[in-house]
Amino acid sequence: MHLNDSCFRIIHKNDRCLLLDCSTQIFWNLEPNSIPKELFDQQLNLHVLGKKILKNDNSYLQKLKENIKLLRKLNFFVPLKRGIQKNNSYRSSDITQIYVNPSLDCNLNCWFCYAKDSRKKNNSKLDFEDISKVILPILDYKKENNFSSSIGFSIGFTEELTLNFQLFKRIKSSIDKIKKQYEFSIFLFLPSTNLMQVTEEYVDFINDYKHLTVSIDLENKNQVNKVVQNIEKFNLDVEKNLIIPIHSKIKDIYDIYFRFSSYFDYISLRPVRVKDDSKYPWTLENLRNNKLEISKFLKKLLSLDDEDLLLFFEKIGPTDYFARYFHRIVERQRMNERCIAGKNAFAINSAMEISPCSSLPDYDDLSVKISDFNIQDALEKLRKKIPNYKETECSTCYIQSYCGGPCMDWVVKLDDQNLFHPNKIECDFNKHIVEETLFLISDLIENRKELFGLIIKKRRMRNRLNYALDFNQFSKFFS
Amino acid sequence: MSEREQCGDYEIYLDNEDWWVIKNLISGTILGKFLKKEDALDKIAAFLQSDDERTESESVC
Ligand code: SF4
Repeated sequence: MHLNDSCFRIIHKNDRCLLLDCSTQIFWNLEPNSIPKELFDQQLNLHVLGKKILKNDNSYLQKLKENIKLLRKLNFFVPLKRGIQKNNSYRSSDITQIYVNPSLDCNLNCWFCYAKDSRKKNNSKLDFEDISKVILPILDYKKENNFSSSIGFSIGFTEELTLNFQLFKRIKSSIDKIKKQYEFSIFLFLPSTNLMQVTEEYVDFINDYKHLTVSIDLENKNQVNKVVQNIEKFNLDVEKNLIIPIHSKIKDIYDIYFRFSSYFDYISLRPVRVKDDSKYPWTLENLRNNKLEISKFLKKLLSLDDEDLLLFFEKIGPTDYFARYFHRIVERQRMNERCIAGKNAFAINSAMEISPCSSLPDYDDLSVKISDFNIQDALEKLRKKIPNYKETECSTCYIQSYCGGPCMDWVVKLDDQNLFHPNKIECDFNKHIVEETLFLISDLIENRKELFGLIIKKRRMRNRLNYALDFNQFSKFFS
Repeated sequence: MSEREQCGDYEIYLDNEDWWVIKNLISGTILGKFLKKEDALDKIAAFLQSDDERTESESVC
């Protein structure tokens, strides 16, 4: 497929059929029995689509052909290329997110922990002075370059923050003091906690901060009990978020969402990025089963009555993997960049190395030692190492607008020989979620329009799918 | 005034002075007036495709 071509995909699942225009992210329902099977789940351009349809003489296809012709005359179908903006000019771009990880201290040993490998390699720590020497040059770099976007600092992503809370508080008060010297906004974000032990001081801080994020390992019964006990210590007006890492052998996804729903305001499920030697590796076979579980979960959602389905959408958190695709599809968000790691976001670990994100310091090809606190120099060296996935198979991928490219950490973990290409496992996982979610949304729009409207309102989304989902009816507008 | 037709966030109608008007229903603004209906439809097709605000990038993983 050439980049200048329009790009379509006819997605077929469980006797339902969709035509997705990959560039505009507009999709329509098609009559599955009238579409030749050879067109299912194929990437097509306008030329091929027209030719294949032409060969057929059923009346539905004839109408479809006429309507495609009509929209083509209006130049409705734009090349996929428009969706991809080549941009690798991060070398002097703004910094908007910095993770500073002073230590790797933790009171748990979760099987999926992203800091596991680092813990084996280094046990150094950064003190307050070190951290100040890291933060200040970054703020000055922004100032010197007249960058105006806000910057967020996350401190202690690779440690259990409650173990190092005094240091966090010192950093917070020092940032609060220097904030005024800069024209851009500076935020300090609290990383998640495992809630194994909470001091009165931490509870007071959170009650004041009004936001708490907890990450839980469902297989650790001790932690589950502690979380349930300790969450009660926080005020009711604290917004409580729970992050649940999901693995390749997860079962009964819907039930997982509701297991803790009485304790937390929002629940986010996210796939864990783990290596082949982990407890639940992302093998092809596991992925197959995982995809079945995802389909089961979405089928379950559609079987819920309006009240329960609305409740579900009220409960899913902003960082939930499924929720994000749901939003991207409804809002037709064109994900220019799925992840800003290594471009506008960086992590600095306790061994004074800079890497694209907190999970990546152990991959030598993607981390740079900071010498003499010269952050700018290290940053420039690192930026040169960041792969440009827009020049890979992503450039012709039918879900590129929804996906925005791979997660470097997942690429490295799944196949560390091939950093420069997305990994098939992650791609398949994402494609499956997009396809299933497209069908879920189309079902809601067609059969439960009012409820769909309420979901949009509750989640404060902008509905960019408010056109006729039936292709022929849609075309009628332009006839 | 002719019957109003809607597609996406856009509405099209013929006003009293015989112009084909495109209105954005979200902002309530008139986006253009055209002598020929085809030109107005052409414009709506372009709006649906491009929608500049659609471009996003994520800040958390
Ligand atoms: S990472 Fe994979 S699924 Fe995502 S755009 Fe690239 S090729 Fe497509």
